[in-house]
Amino acid sequence: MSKESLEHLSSLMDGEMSSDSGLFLTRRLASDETLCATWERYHLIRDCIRKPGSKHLVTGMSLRLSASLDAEQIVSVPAWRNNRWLKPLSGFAIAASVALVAIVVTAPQTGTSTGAADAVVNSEPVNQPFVSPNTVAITAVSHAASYSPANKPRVEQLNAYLLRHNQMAGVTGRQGFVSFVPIVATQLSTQAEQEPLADDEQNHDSVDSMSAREAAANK
Amino acid sequence: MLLIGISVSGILMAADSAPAVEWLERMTKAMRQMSYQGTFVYIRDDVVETMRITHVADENGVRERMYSISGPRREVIRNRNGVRCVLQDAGAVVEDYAVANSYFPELPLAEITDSEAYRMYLSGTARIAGHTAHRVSILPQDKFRYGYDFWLEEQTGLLLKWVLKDSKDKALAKLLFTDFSIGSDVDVSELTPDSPAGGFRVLPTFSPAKPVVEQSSPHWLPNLLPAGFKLSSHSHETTDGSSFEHLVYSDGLAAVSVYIEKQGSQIGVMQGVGQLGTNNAFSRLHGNLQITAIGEVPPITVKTIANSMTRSVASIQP
Repeated sequence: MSKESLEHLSSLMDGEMSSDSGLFLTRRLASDETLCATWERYHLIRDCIRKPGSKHLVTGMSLRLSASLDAEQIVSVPAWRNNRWLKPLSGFAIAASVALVAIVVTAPQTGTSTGAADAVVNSEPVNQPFVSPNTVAITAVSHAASYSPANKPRVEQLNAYLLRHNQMAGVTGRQGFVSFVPIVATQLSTQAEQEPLADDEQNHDSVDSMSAREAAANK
Repeated sequence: MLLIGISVSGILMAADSAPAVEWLERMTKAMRQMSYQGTFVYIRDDVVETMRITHVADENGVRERMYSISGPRREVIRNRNGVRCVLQDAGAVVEDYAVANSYFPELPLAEITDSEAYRMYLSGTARIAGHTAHRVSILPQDKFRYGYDFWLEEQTGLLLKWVLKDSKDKALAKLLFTDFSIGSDVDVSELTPDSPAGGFRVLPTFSPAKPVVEQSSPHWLPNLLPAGFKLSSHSHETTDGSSFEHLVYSDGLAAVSVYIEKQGSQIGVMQGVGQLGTNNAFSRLHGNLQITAIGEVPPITVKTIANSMTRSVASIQP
């Protein structure tokens, strides 16, 4: 390995590398086992310096990473799908479900949206992929809160939003610390001024599938 | 025959998901109540980062510290007082105070099992960081939410590996422990922060005042939500009616926050799509108000919710 590569690796660890160069080097890390092993050794050395005698040394990271990535290539198949005796039953169930969907799709659509009752103003055209939430009884507890405006760039504002989101959204507690990892590892990317999503066409496809699924579920 | 088919299908699905739900319940409890410590790698796109986590639950309460080992020094500290983030590269500290009833809260697993938004099942075992782990797979049934693979430690249910996937089962991000300690092996001294916060700008996010619990209707509501999403939390500013409002919608696993706040001369205007790790955000302006939706869901979800937010009738009636 060249001296230049080692210097780049050292710069990456110290956070002194530009984002473009860092991206290039991390791509190399993903494919270059020698470089990855060196990167691991650097971390070990730094850990030992910081905390001599640590029992929690990181070893075999490159191998574990490779093993992990290899394992992810395996397509996961639910166990019950492999049970041969279930196949006739499953086939029947699927056939029955298809029949139900067919019935639902051809049945007259009755408007059930009570969103009008809530009479929101400035309502925008209602697309199909999402359902009106206004049929759901609102039972959530409300809190009084206030926000302290400050002059901060977008990334900081989004960080603040995410912090409060993680605290208020109870479901994020399920994964514990994982919800806060993006803040430590954050790499903000933004698109300026209302750029449309790139896969709008694909979204229209999903609109139809969602509608059918929703109709079946509601039925 | 049709009803029999539907019943059989439902029974098969329920039997399939029951063990997975049981493991999720174990994970939820373990992640909150147990002490653990370890080093993990976080992989997203082409970026590989190494971090360290120390989570201690003892007579002094729950305390947690997570910090980056590689790259810029960043850390997140959580305790009974709230959350504190030190971002060395930004030269800033972001703080938020603990919010009532949301500090390591209980989770409504029933919301997931009763919905058709996800399919869950156990899908094998593996050895991770010296521990045997069971894999729980959660597949989204549409394109408006993400799926997950959780690898949970056999004895405790603690999370050893995490994979975020899109609706096509493509991995978007991974988290994998490379060493892991539990219980008495945890070095509590690592809870002490070592980030030099001196001289950093402190960016307060919200008022430290204790939130006042009250029942009220939101001033803003979305016209459109993915199936299964319900309002789970609502905060608003009491002094000026609608100048600030925070709504959280959740399907029991994914959650989206919507922030509506008044634009001031000192606040930079945000518009369009943003991304914080695996969290997507979308902002738009409505008069002098800025509406932002953010959450660990696909971009189309935050964009549609943000665009569909409208003022409720209750808020405009005299």
